[in-house]
Amino acid sequence: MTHDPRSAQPSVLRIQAVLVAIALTAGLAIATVHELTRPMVMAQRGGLFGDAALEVLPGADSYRIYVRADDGRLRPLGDGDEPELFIGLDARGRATGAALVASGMGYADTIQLVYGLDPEARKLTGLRVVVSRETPGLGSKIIDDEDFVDGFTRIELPFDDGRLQPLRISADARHERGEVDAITGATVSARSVAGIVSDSLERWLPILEREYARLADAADG
Amino acid sequence: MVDPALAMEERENAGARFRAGLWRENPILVQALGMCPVLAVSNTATNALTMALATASVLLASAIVISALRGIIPRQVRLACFVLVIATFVTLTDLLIEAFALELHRALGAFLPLIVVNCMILSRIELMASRQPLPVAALDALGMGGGFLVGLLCLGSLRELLGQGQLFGHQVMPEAFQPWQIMQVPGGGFFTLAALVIVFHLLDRRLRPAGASA
Repeated sequence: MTHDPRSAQPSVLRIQAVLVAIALTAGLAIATVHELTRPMVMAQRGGLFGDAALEVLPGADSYRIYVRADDGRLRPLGDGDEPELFIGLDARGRATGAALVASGMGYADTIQLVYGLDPEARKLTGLRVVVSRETPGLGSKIIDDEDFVDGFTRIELPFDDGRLQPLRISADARHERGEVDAITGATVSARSVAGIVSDSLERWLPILEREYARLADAADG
Repeated sequence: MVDPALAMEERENAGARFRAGLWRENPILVQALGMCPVLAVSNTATNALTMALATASVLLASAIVISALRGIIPRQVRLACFVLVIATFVTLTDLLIEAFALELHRALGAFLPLIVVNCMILSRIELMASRQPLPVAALDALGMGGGFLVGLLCLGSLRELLGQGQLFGHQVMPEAFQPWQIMQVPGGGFFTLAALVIVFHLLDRRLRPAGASA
């Protein structure tokens, strides 16, 4: 066929055929590479979450990883699971606290972070953002602004009548009321982080209350 | 049938296109295209290098594919096809960088997927790849990609050197050197870019033979 697509008016069918062909090829290529690289990314992320767990749990130098089973109980990490809970262990194998993986929507994309809880689950011991795509120079401060990150460890978890209140971000934060200092230029991202931690605490505190002693004993034993 | 005169002109074109991208039509220093990543992720030499390599490989791969398909892409939907091809290569690059260099992937953040809308790439595809035979398109993409890399690397190295006293993460300035904080924020990027453009044009004027037109 020698017709020149630039001069002749091509049929709608031809236009669509070309578009569909290109889109299909593109989709196939992306799916293939995604499948191939997925295990590598997950392996690195698993390592990153573990590293983050050690950073947010003072005194811990190893950990055990647990996930929630379908019946709501906790079981050790199996093949193909994504880590949810780290129990930090000190050099003698005693439990030093729990670190939790939490995720939620940020300004640009999903934020995944790890935060540590002391054994009494009354204070946060640390926070590390592991995966995020916040705007470099602005939202990305949630990763490297030491004051902001440390702010989470200065607060008392705010309970009202035994119920956990959401953590708040505030320009003149009062730490005893569960308020964390805001960061200029990263308002949305900072609020997202506080929201992610609050949601995760709300879900996990009852579970930890029930199961932490058992897990800590298991760690000792 | 290929007109011999046209083929001759094109062959001559290919080398010239390559050199044009590197210097005379440098995408950063002359055309000022794709400024968003240029200013945002040029705070360290490593970030600049990765960003430039990612952009250059997307440009090269897209130029080759588009040039090869230029006979079958209908004019009416050419932009849709260009963007489709570019977006595919950007996604692939994104996935590969995430798999092999997660740290870098985190540092570049949202700017990696934004290569899709880099106007340097779209302009090269529209002006060259969709009209020229494969060798010319590929060399043009290599030249432009190389020019982008040179510009971005100069910017990144200067900003890291003055802003952190380091180069590729290694301390090179003496201990007594007080880092210029401003070089690390986007504002520093603008100042550095302005300085580079001035130096470039002074050099260009000196190198250009007297009497040659711009």
